[in-house]
Amino acid sequence: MLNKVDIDMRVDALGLVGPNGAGKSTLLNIVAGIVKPDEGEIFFSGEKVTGLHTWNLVKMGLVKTNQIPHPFRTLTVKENVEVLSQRRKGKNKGTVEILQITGLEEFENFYPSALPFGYLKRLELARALACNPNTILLDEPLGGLSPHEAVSMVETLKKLKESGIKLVVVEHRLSELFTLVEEVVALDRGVKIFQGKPEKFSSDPAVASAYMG
Amino acid sequence: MKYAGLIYVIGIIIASVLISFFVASPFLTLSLTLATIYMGLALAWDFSSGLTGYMNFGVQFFFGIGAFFTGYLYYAYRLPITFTLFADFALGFLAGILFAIPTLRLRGPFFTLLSLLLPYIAASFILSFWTILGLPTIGYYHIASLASSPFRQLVYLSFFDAVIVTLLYLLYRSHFGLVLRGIRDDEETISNLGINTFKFKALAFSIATGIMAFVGGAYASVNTFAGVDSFGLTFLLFPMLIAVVGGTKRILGSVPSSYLTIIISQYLNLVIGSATLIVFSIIAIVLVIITQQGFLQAILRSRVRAR
Amino acid sequence: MPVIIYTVVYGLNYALIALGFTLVFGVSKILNLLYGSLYMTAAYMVYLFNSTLGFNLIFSDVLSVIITILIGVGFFLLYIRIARDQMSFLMSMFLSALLLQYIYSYFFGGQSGLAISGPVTSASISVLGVSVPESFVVSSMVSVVLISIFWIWIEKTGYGKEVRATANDPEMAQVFGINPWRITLAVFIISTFLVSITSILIVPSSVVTPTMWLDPFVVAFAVSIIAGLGKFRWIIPSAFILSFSQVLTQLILPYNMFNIVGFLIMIIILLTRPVGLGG
Repeated sequence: MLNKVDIDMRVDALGLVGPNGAGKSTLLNIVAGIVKPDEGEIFFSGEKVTGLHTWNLVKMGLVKTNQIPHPFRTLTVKENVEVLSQRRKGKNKGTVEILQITGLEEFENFYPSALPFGYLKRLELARALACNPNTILLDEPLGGLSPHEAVSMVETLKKLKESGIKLVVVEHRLSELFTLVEEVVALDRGVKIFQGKPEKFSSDPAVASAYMG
Repeated sequence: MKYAGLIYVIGIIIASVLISFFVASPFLTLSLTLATIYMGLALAWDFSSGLTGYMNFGVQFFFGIGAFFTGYLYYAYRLPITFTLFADFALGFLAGILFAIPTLRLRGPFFTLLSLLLPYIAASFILSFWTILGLPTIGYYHIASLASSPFRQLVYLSFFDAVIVTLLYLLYRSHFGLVLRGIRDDEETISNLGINTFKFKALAFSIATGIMAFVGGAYASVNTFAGVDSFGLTFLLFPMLIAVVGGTKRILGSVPSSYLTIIISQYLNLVIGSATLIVFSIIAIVLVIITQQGFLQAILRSRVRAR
Repeated sequence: MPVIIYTVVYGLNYALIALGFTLVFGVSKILNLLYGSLYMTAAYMVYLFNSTLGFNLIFSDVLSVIITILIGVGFFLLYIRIARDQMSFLMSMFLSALLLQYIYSYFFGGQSGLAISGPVTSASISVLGVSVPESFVVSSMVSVVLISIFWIWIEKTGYGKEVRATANDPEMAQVFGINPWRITLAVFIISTFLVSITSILIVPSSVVTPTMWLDPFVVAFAVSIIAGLGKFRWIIPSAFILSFSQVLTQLILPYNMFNIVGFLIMIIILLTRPVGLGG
């Protein structure tokens, strides 16, 4: 249940944090067009997009990854990416390139069931990239990863950011997240309690009370 | 070789034509002809139902309207059969789209049940419609035969089947087919990733129904009549059985499977008559339960990498 | 006046036919593709016991109900356990319906219809000046009685509440000690019982053919869709909508177009208000 959350994203990478149940995933789902909000408006690249179906949003360049990977189990890794490409004229990242960026090239003919969890998360990212997005919403991309894998994932995300893709990242692992994002928004029980630079986050009193209880 | 499987099944089709020529048994030729009819239906059924997971129980409707449309075009305008067959495809395609638009957004079982109802209303409706147009009320039309001899008919039909299987297999291997497989795998996720699943499902369905109508027209010209029986349920049972035996979702398997199934059924018919239908229904049920993949696929796989 | 009488009588009959079907779907979300076949089975069993074997009619009726329930439950248990996904479940149910059609066709003869007797005569009586088979009138009254009983049972009794709980939230129901599986099975048995009774009452006014299973299925499905699957209080009104539109269509349009009307209404409802009128 989100309550009048108002966020204006002006940075290249935004972090979205908060205790469990704060509404972070819900917010992402609403922005991505998966869930319709009861009230409020969403603007993307200056256009009002509230209530539009996901495929319209994807056409506009907005894509979301899942917290729990949902790969296509009957398709190989390569097919998982291919199935989404070739839909837009102009500069598409090729499947090979996407697999390289996400470190999946050696696995391209494997089925998802053969992949370790960390690679499934990369596959989620790869599929998002196949949609040729300019903005990616990531729901806990580091969840379940070992520290080593998490660092690697953050590096990949940084590269994507540098290539011009905007990121909105919901995460619990704050130390890794803060190396990636320029601004942080914190939610608690459906309400925005903080928006500002990562450095200011831990010293904020509202944040402290939300996390400590 | 990438398309080895396709070459292989086309070889099977050619082989059957040759066998018919050399054995020169009218019974065999008839059985093979019947097999080609059911093959076309099975291929189309497998492509739309197996690939999308939205099962089409209305095969006989599209088959029937193809038969009737050919009948009508021939009766009213004396149009040549080859022309009417393409008109049948167009009609079937259009009818498929019309049906799909309201129904594809429903959940799978509802779609399936509604498709089952189509032939149910079709027979009486079309007969009435025909009466309004002032055509013979019985609904049987005598149509010029597809070709001058049963063997020639077999050749034509086999050729059509080769075209159909090539078309559908190429589609299956294309990006279009990949998207369909993705939809069958996880429609919600692929929709969230920007694919307009409705468009793909509707297209796959309508291509299949167009083919079914095409085959219906061909059947009508083979039998030289179209009638209410064209809407019979055997035109659903056998294609379904063939597809299951051949391996649903695999397209190519339906080719050898249809020869096998139909020839067996024809001989069985000689022995036990209409109890054949009982036997085959039971076999179909058992197969559906035992396997999603079809046991012929295992045989195919050991010979050729047909995927 | 005939329009009203026909609408009411046929409507109530449709409602009775639909009752069992919507019961199963409302509770377990299972589309019973064998529903019409079980209707047909009951009729053939009556023929077998009464006409062929010469048993007493009432005894035949009872026997046929029992056998139909056994057959229905047999198929149900088989496929519920074995089918791995919805597609194979649907396919096996449908193929079983075909199987039954072929079996009856083989053993009882093909297309020409057989006649069976019913507990009530099929002779026509006059209802407010309109001629209607007496058995239809009786089945209409039975329909009202049964639907009311079910309505009360579902809404008021303890067991009915369990059924509703299972329908709404099977997992939650389990928490409260309700066994959804037993409820599903019980509901299926009741549904089959209902469809057999219906068949015994209604079929004597027409003929028994191997392809007769589609008609009751379509009616049951259509009424259930219009009402909203599982919405008992809407069954009768929805059945009236169906029968009324059919009667009207037959009056206005020539020929046998009335089948389409039901189909079209279903599509319209599914598109505009998919939960049905009662949703």
